Amino acid sequence: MSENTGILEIAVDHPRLDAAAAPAFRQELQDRFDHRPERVVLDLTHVDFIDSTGLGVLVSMLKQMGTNGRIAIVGASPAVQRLLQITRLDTLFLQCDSTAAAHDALA
Amino acid sequence: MMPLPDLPAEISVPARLIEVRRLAEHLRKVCRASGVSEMTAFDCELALVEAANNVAEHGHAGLAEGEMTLSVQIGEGRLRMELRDSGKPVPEGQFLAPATASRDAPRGRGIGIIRSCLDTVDYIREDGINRLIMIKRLD
Repeated sequence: MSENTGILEIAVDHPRLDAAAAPAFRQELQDRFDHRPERVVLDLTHVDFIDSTGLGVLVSMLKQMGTNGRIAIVGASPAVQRLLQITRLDTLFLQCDSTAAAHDALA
Repeated sequence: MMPLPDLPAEISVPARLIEVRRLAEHLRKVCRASGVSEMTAFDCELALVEAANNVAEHGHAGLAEGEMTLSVQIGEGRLRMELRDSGKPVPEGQFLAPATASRDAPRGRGIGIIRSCLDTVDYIREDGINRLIMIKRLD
């Protein structure tokens, strides 16, 4: 969490964010959510593949953040972008080219 | 159908979520060996993973053991995947029903994703075996 901006930064280090990885990923997020953040920068640079279960964890995370919650995704691979497009969730999450751009978008 | 040297015609794995990755790996190898484009290969992998997740999570829920078997064939301008398992039958019309997951629902997108990624999806229950036949046209 950046003290100055109040924006939580989370880097995901699961190369495959699939149904097998989802329980651990969900717990990792939960561990970071001791204070419910309203703005999160989610770095998916190291995620090569995501399925609907992995995506569901992100959707749950957004719901948990409340009605004012916003998530900016950085480093979305073509595979991640494709899933967001197929599911029409590309408008639910901001997609940014860099962490700095994500902070600007969430400011 | 084009032969795929050095790759088995099909692969069987235990019907568990962690094993879905081995099916996906096999598909990626076939796609690479056959020169399938990255985005087409990704669509097929995503559809396969969603289908195999369903087999592991629902078809084999409560069953002590079981396998799922994937065969992949490429030819005649299409990629054909067949996923077989001996788990519970898929509810009738499951692959035909319109996607119903609301935008902020954490689950329920799998079938819609499978249909979005592929050109044809056919499900057959035959002699206690589920057969899901998934076809993607190759451009």
